[in-house]
Amino acid sequence: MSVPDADDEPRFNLFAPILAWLLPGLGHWFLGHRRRARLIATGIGSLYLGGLLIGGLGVIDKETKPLWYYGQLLIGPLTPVVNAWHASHYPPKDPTYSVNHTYAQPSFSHGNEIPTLFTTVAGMLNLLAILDVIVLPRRREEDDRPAGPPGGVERRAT
Amino acid sequence: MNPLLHTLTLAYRPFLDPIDISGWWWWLVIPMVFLISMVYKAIRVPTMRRYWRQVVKMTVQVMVVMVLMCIGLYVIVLWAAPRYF
Repeated sequence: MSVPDADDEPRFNLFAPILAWLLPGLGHWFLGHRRRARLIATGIGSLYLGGLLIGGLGVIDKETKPLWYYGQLLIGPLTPVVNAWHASHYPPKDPTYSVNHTYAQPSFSHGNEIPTLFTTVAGMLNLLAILDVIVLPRRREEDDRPAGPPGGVERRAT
Repeated sequence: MNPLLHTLTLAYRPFLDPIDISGWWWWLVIPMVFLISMVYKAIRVPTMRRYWRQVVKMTVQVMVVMVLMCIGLYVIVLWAAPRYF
């Protein structure tokens, strides 16, 4: 028999969305949805890092792609950090100036478009995660417990 | 060293050098759809039982629809339009 539990009721969370923006999955982790948090962090992190590995850090560029940048910004404070690094290491126009200087090589065509899409989609998915934890009960089901009976989870009164 | 040779022999620097995906960029839709499904289902499913099955199901559904759309567009643009329009 299912017993109502105060933790099963949706509630407004103020701190969890901030955590979810700081690090994908952290909002769910904070609310006790550990397995969901791991999956969200893995999925979003793979998309974001995959995009950066394919296209380089130049994929995040507020100056030339502001609309994409705002989508990427949803992933958290890592995006402005990468943008600031990229802005300070932009390849100078004079090639002789760049000798022994580390900077991100620009990517073009599909090599730029696909990673930009990867990183922006990661940001949009994190927006879903942020919206999800705004009104979310703590541990709404069997996240860290063995599977229950079909059709629902039996919760015992303690 | 010859500048061209120097360019060719440079090692790949992660996060600094882009990878040349010009010949196979469209294959990247598969991992992208899979990861999107993974995150979406982690957020949306009420219970985590059969989670991976649902992820695979959504991935396959999206891919099948995209392939069907590609076939439809191919037929319209390269076959029907030149003949009837």
